[in-house]
Amino acid sequence: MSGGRLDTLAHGLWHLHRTPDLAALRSARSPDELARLALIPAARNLGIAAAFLPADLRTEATAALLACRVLDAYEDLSDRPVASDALLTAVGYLTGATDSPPPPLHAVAERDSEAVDLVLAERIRDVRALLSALPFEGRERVGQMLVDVGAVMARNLDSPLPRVVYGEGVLGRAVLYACSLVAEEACAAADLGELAGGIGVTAQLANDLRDGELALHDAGDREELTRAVMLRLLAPALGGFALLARLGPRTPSRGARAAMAYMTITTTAFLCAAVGAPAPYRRRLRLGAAVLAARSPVHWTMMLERVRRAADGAIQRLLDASPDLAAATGRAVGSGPAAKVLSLGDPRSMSPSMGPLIVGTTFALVQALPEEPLTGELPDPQVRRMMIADHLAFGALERLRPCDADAMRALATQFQLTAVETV
Amino acid sequence: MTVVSPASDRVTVDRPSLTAPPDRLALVADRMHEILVTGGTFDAIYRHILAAPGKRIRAGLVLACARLLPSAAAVRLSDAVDLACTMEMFHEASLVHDDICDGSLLRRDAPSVPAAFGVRTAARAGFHLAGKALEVLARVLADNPAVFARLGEAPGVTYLDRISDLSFGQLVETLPPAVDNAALRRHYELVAGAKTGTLFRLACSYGGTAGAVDHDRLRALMRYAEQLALAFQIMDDVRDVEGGPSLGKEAGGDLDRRVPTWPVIEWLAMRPGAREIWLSERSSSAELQADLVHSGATRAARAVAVRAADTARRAVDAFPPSPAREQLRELSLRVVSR
Repeated sequence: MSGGRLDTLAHGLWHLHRTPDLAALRSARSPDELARLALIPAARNLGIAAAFLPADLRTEATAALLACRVLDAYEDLSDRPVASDALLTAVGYLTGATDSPPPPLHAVAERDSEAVDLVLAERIRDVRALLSALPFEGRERVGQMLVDVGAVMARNLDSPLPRVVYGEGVLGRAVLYACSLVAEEACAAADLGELAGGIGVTAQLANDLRDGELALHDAGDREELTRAVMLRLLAPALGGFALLARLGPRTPSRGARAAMAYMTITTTAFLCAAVGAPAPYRRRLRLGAAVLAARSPVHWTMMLERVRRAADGAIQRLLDASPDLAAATGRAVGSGPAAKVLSLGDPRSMSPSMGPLIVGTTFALVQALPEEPLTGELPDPQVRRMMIADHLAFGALERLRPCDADAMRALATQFQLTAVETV
Repeated sequence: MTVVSPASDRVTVDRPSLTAPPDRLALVADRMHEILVTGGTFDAIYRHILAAPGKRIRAGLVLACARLLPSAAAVRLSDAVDLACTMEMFHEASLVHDDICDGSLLRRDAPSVPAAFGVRTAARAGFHLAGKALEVLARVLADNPAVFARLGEAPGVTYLDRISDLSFGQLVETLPPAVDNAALRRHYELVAGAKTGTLFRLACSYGGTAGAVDHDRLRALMRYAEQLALAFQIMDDVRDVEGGPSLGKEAGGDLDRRVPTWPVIEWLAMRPGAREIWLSERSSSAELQADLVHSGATRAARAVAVRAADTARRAVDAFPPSPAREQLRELSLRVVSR
C-alpha cells in the first residue's frame, strides 16, 4: 500500500468519529482540498473504504461520493414542493447538462451528516469541478449514475417508493457504479444489477436503522424498527453475499478488494450490534481483517464466511424467544443451533440471479425439515427454519414490480419446478 | 365446471346472478380444482385441501370489490374468479406452513397437510401452491394490461410487493413484548395487520383494481380490510378460547403456546394477578381457558371486534349502494357473529 493511501487512511480513521469541522470545509481553497476534507465527514466508513483505492480510482470515487451527498442534500433538505425539481436541476448541473445551478438550500441541519451535506450543496460548483476534471470515461460513468440515482430520488419525492425499490434504485445503483469502477464482469449485466440492488437495499436498510426512520417502516419504536429492518434484510443480503463472493476474485486491485471487505465487515458489524449479536470482527481488528481478506481468494472466502455466519447469528439473536415467556412455555431462549440461512451453501456456486438464488435457498431450508408426518410441535429450530423459508420466499415476491407479469411467471415456474424436483 | 361465456361475463353491478355470492364461490371452488388438480406431483395434497374448504373470505372480498362500481373498465368475471383463486391459494399455502410452525394436527376437522403427508412434503407443497397462485395472477395481469396499468402506483395501498408482511407477521408473533398492556396491544395489532390483514388488503386491492376502483377508494378498501382483519382475528382468538364444534381443531392451542391473543390482553388488564398466572409454568391451558371466560375477557374482546367491524362497515360508505357493497357490509357482520 502506498504512503499516500496510508496517509489518507490514517487521516480518515482519525476523523471518523469526530464532529466535522464545517468551518474548514467552508474555507477549503480548492475543489481538491474540499474533497480531501469532506470525504470522511460526508461518507464515513465509505470514505475510509475509498481511501484503500489506488489513486486514479480514489479520485473518481471521491468525486462520485461527494456528488451523491449533494443529491442527498437536495433530496432531504429542499422545500418539499420544489424538492424534485431542485434535485433534478442539481443532477443536470453536476453532470454538465446545464450551467444553471439549483436554488440554494435554506434548511437547518439536525444531524452532523446533514450539516456536511449542506456545505457540499453550498459548494456544488466545486463538486462539479471535481467531476469535470475526471477523464471522459469516468465522467460518463459517474454522470450516468447520478442521472439514474437522481431520477429515483425524484420519484420518491413525488410519491414515496417502497424501501426495497428505493434502496435498489439509489444505493443499489451506486453499488453497480462501484462494480463497474473496480471489478471485471462478475456476472451477466441483468444479474449484476439485481445483486448490486441487494447490497444497495441492505445498505439502505442499515441507514434507515441508523437514522431511526420509524415512519418509513411503520414502526412505533426503535425495537419495532430493528425487527422490520432485520427481517426485511434476508433476501437482499442473500443477493449481496452472492455478489461479494463473485466480486472478490474478479477485482484486480487489492486496494479495491480491501475497500469492499471493509464496507462488508463494518456494515455487518453495525447490523449485529443493533440486535446485540457478536460482530464478525472486533472493532480494532476490522481494518486489518479487510486488508487480509484482500490478499487472496482464499482469504476473501474466509472473511465472507465469517461475515455470513455473523449475519445468521444476528437473525438468530433477533428471533430468540421473549424472555418473559421462556419460562412459561418451557423453551430456553436461544435454544438449539442457529438455522443457517445466509451462510447456507457456497455463494460462489449459487445462481447469480436473485429469483433462483432465493428459491434455491428456500428449498435448501425445507430440505432440512423432517420428512415424517407431523405428530406434534416441532423443535424450535425446525419451526424457525420453516418461518424463515416462508419469509425468504415471500421476499422474492417483494422484489417484483406489481405489474411485471413476466417476472411473476418466471418466479412462479421456479417455485413449482423446484418443489417438484426436490420431492 | 361452470362455463362462463365470454360475451356475458364482464363484471357489472346490474347482473342478478352476480349478486348471489354462493354461486360465485362455487365458481371459485371449481376453478381452484381445475387449476390445482392436474395429474401433478401434489394432486393428492390438493384434493385433501380442496375437500375441506374454508370460508373463502378472501375470494369473497375479491369478487365483491371487483364489482363495487359499474365500469366498462372492469375485468371479466372469469378473470375476477381467477384473482379470487389466487388469494385463496396464497392463503391455503400459508395455512399449510402455519400448521407446520404451530404443530397443528387438525385443520378444518381433517388431518392437517403436514400430519397427513409429512412435514417436508407439506412445506414443498405450500411453495408449489404459492407458485401456482403467482402463475394465475401473472396470467390475469397479462390478459388485462389496461385494467392493471396503474397497479402498484397508489400510495397506502397494499400490492404484491408487500406480501412478505404475511410471513413477517408470523415471525414477529413469536416475539411478544414484555407483559405490558400497551405494548401487547400494539404488538397484537401489528401481527393481526400483517398475518391476517395482508391477504385481506391484497384481496381488496386486486379486486378493487380489477373493478376499476380509483386510488382514493382503494384506500377506503384498505381501511375496510384492516378493520375486518382485526375483527376476524380477535373472533378467531375468542373461538380458540371458547372452543366448540365449529372450530375444526382443538381449542386452547394459542394458550398452550402462550400467544398473547386479544382475550388474553383483556384478561391481563382486568384480572388482578393475571400477569403472574400467565407467566407461571404451573398454569395449565385449561385453567387459563376457564379464567379467561369467567373473568369476562372473552366478552370484552368480542366487543372490540364488534367495534372494528363497525369501522370496517363505515369505510365502504365511500362506494355507492350496490349488492357488492352490501356483501362487504354483511361480511363484517358475519365475522363478529360467528
